Amino acid sequence: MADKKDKREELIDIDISDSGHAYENRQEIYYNDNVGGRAVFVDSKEQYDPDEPYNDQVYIPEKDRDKAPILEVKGLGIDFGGLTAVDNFNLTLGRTEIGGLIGPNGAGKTTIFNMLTKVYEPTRGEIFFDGKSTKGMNTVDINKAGMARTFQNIRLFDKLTVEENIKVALHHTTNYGLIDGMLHTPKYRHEEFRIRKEAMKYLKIFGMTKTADYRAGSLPYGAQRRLEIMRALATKPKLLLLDEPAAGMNPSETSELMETIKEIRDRFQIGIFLIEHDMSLVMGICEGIVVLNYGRTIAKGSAKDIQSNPKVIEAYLGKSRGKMDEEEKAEDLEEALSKGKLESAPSGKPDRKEGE
Amino acid sequence: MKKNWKKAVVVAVSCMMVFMLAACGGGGGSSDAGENVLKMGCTGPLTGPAAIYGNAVKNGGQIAVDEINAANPDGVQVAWQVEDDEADGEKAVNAYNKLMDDGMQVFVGSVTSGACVAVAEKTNADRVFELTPSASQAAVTEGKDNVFQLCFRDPDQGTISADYIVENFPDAKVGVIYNNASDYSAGIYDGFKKEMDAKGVEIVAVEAFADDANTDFQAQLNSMKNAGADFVFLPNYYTPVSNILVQADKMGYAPTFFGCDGVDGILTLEGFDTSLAEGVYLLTPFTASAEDEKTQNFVKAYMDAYGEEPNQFAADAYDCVYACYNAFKETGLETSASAADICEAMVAQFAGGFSYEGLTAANAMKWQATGEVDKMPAVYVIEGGKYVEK
Amino acid sequence: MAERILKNIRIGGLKNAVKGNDYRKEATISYGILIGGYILLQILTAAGLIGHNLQGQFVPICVYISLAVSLNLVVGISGELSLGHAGFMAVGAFSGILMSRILLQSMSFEPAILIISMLFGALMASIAGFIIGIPILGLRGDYLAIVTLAFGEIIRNFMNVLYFGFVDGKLRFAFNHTIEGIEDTDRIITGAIGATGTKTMASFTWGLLLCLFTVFIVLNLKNSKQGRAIMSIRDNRIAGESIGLDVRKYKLMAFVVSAALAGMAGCLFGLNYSTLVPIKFNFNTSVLVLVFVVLGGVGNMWGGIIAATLLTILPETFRQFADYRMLTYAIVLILVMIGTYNPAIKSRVNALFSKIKPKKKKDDGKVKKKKSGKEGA
Repeated sequence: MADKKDKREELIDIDISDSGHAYENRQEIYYNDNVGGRAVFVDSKEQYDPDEPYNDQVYIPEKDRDKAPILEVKGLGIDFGGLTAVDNFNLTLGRTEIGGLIGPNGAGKTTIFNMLTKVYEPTRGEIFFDGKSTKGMNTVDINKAGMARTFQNIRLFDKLTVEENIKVALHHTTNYGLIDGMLHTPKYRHEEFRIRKEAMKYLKIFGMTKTADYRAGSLPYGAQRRLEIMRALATKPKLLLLDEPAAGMNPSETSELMETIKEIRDRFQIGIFLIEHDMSLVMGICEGIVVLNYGRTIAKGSAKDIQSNPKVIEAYLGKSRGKMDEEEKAEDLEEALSKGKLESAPSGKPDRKEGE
Repeated sequence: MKKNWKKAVVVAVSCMMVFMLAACGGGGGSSDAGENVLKMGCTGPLTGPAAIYGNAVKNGGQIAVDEINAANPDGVQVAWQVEDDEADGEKAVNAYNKLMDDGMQVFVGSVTSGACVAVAEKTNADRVFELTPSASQAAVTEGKDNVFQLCFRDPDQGTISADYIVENFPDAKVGVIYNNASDYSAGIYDGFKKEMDAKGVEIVAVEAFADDANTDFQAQLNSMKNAGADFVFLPNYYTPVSNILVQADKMGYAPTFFGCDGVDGILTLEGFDTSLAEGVYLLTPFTASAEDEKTQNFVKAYMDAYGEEPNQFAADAYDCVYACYNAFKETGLETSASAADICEAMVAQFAGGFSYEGLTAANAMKWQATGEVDKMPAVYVIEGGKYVEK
Repeated sequence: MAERILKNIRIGGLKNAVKGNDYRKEATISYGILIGGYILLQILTAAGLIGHNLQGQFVPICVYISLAVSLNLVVGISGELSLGHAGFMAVGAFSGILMSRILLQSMSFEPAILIISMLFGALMASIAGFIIGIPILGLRGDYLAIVTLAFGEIIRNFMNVLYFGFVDGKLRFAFNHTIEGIEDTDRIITGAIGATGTKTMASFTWGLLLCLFTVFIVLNLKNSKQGRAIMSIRDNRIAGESIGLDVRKYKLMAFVVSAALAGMAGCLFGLNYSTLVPIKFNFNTSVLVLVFVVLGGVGNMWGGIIAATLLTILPETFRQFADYRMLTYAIVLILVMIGTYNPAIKSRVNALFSKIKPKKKKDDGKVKKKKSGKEGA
């Protein structure tokens, strides 16, 4: 027992200041005009007019403009038995951008996530991830290509421990075969020790080393959310999709989460795309925000752009308010956003459950 | 670590205590020295779908044991113990081992073939004399000098049936419906087909089914009808045969049906209209309606004790107990002799021309050294709700 | 600390958390029961305290233990209900017997024959598992259970029409009819009559080795990347896919490994009796093994070991009830099932155990109590 404990301590004490993450060695794939004959990437800020409805024009933060975008979506749409859930969704996400996807309930946000990760096959449109079309890929391929996600209703491997949950995510980088696994060969021991160390590193970064041996399903809610993000990160993605990461968190937890998300982006240099109803989080950390209503993109821009966009105001506050003068509109929206009214904002359509 | 070991030990020990209980339970009935008792044991299906055979053997044997014990209260007495084996080889070995724990000296079993082959291996290794009343596979006696059969072998029944049919129904177009999942049925069919091929007689249609609980034989009967078979050989137990007869009657298909000893008992089957069995032939070494005195006495005793007519299995068991008892007396051994000594002496008897006149043969039975019995079966036909010898 | 993104989770937050599976403990208990039981029984046998009846059950008990453990791989670890385990046992048994008879033509060293036959049985069973697994593992839950049931029966019925034997020293086989010109003693497998004339080679020691091997493989697999992948798909299929796990591949892996181990156990079973009929491997046997697994606790290896042992011995100990034996067995089985899964009874047993337990490990006890309290509520 004693030496076992020592080993654990040893693992906890590993130095994580040098994250040693694979991203550092990743070769950046620069933008290529000729791939798939896509629309030309718009580079200059001048072409973007916040008052214009969003169409083919794109907004991405300044710092990512020298690299190809990590995700490009063109005219994405899906029908469920005649009902159009999402139509003509467009998006360009910078390589290290934190993007936000907002919209009233039932706007189709999770549906978009599910299309991006191929839980649903889109009816129309194209997705280019890291410069390649994801046509014909399934969920597994998408993850292997470098896109990882979390879920609105947490989906952990409940009966496995926290440590095992992360080890599962390290599956594809664990290098041994079935025979090694069944016989516990030296190769198995070596690799298991390595991934255990790696798993502990993630746990340490997220301050969860003490939870390592507990069942994931029995953790408190906040820890489960953290673990889900960790698990997604452990698959070493280039893009992380977070589906309502702050749901169920109190304000202090939310502000902590905001710091975390920024930290993740800075440390791992990846793109993050998140769905969130908490406007303080979205407005606080998202560099680009996409607003969705009735399954259509109505705007993309910086937080400031979005807050002053009449279409957004209309979507969130109703058409009648659209006639008010600019100042009033801005005030009302700000109020609405800060109070988090969005979840019950008038949306014309009855609320629809966003299925996974 | 320490605690884990403790837990393991606790679990192991509690596990062992149950083991011990089981062992004690098994060793409970040790033999009473001093009494002049020959311990005979048998395993058979007393529960499950084949329970009717096991129970018949149990009861038939009991009649013989009661008769022997009543006839010579001062001489050698016989004890009779039957254990359930569910017609399964694994369970039969367990049951046999239980009998050995209880001090069995002569093994009169097993009832079903599959179980018997598994047990015969054990009796051969343990040197216990074995005479099976009803296990009819060739494999039961193969390579084992201590195992003898009182019944016909399955293929022999097929061979004799084929001979009889070819001789008495030379113009018949013969079809066969058999259960290919039953070793009994498949064994008879094997022998039947071989003999028919040897005689150069064509079987016009062969149809199989896979479960004695099967109730729908339309497809098989239609195939017989379409092939123009006017004579259908049914090497099956009476349950499927009764269903076949009912459905053939409904279809208006009336060939001559010919069954083996498994069909014996069909007239007492509950809910079966016996008029449908009129004209059915069966080849069997025993039937309760035989007129001779021995059979009549046995049937009466059985009826009195168990309230039903004995079938062939009961008669086989009755014969087995008597044959073993007679052979034992001829060896001149004391009942205190070990099972192995009794075995050697009995084997010498059975292989050396011992003969016994019983219920289940028209002549005196004798045994070959290979374990097979030499006896003559009789062919009966059902007329007026009775078996009439042909 | 700059490196740390989030504050450490407070321990108070883990009050209701439950510790995960302790592989070392599970392995220790499983091996402890097997080896301890073996040694004890060998001593008792040598001392003449154990009758023929129990001795005769040693090998079948070992076989059932390893069947229960291997089925637990599908039911407990992979989370799919399989009702066709006896089918793989049958494949292993008959192919193993066949191999042993072929080897006996040229070899006489029994341990080698036994091992080769068992490996061959495992191979054939895993092939059967693979062939069956590919089309059906797209199904889920009840549908999968029903289809495995059907496949188990198909395998058994296939054995009913299979004939193998030697003619002039050469191996011959046929479907649904006797092989031409074969002698009785040269038959290996004869359709519904099954395998006869098998040379019995199994022993308690081989049984123990089989159990140890099965437990070794299953527990190792459980604590490996493949096992974790299998368990995560069980816990959450969608999340599993989202981190790049191929659901079918890992379900198939569990199914095939389980089939191979069942085949191995089947082979030892086949080589323990001089005859073996296909009907032995019917639906009832599959259910019996499933009962071991359920009674021992789904996913609990040593529970399955104990359940298999007790439920194999139990019907034998009831022989004194004569005609009511199987009835008694059924009633006891029902009572045990109700007893083990009744939360009220379970919590009382747990409470009793926590009293008996040495109180050295306080945190462990706390967790246990919490758990039992929750279940009692």
